[in-house]
Amino acid sequence: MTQIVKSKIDQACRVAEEFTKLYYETSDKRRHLMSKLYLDSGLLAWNGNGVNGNERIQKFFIDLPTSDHIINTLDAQPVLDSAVNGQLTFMIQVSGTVRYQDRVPKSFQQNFIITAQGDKWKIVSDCFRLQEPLTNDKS
Amino acid sequence: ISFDIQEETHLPPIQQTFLCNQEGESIVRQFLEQYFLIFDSENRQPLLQAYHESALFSMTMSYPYGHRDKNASWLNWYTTDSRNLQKVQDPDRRNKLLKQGQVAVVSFLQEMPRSKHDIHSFTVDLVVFTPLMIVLTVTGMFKELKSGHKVPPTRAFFRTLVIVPAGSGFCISNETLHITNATDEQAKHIFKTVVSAPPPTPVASPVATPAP
Repeated sequence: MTQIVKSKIDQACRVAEEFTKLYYETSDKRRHLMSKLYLDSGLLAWNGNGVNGNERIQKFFIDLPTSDHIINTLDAQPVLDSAVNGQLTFMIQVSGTVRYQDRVPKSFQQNFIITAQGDKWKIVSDCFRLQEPLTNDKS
Repeated sequence: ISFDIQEETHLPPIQQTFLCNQEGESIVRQFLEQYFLIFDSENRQPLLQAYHESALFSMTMSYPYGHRDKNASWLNWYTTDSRNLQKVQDPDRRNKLLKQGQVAVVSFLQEMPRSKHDIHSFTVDLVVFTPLMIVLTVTGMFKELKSGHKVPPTRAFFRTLVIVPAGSGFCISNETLHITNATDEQAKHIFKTVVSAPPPTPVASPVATPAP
């Protein structure tokens, strides 16, 4: 069994802390910079709506109502080398609450795959789900 | 007279499924059906085959917004192993809470409370689909069984799997699982989906749906 080096696990955790701080600050306060966090070919799946490429993702964020995120939990792991050909890649999972404009806060969960591109971390995929029923019927 | 700039409050409507590649649909469906069929059974040991020998698994838990009240079912079982980096600062503890290797992963899954997942409540997001790697996120609800609660609690989960090819099939290399309580609005819908029209392709549901 190939042991994952503990230092790589430590690194995943530290990067996850920095990354999520930056990600939610940017999406809440400096949204016009969001595209810089993604690979050119990055993917956002927002509540099941797929958005391809960092330019489209930028536009998608600009169109969203203003947001205020609070993180409750954070978790991170290095992705096994066999999946990514040795390319340094981390998986990050977050849960928390988000308030859109003056609405009631909702719980959300989110997962990121981020990878090292040169000396920058970039998002490969970003999967966001609000915790809500699939149907809106009030029965 | 008002101003011409109005703040838009519209959120894009929820979609149950997103597939970055349609070719992934049958693989993902088969994998999830087999996985949860075993996960909901009395014995989770056969899941050993579903995990890479060096697989990594970790779990976090939290209560949903506004649910920390008397009526909520406590998530005590999940607290001990919750790898919440916001609270767990010590690198050794962080390392220990990460289950490493298929035996460690499945031993932990085996210890988790028995469950019955509502496959109709699932959302699936397939976000990476390459010959080397598949990444998908599943959310949904399950009933927690035989865990000492008077009424089986309705839990919600958010589970991300990194899947790699293995032999003629696939196995999980990385997994993060988040467990929380279903909200009241969600819980009303568990095991309530009635399939009104015959689906285009028959789907064998591993979860028996009781009559509403």
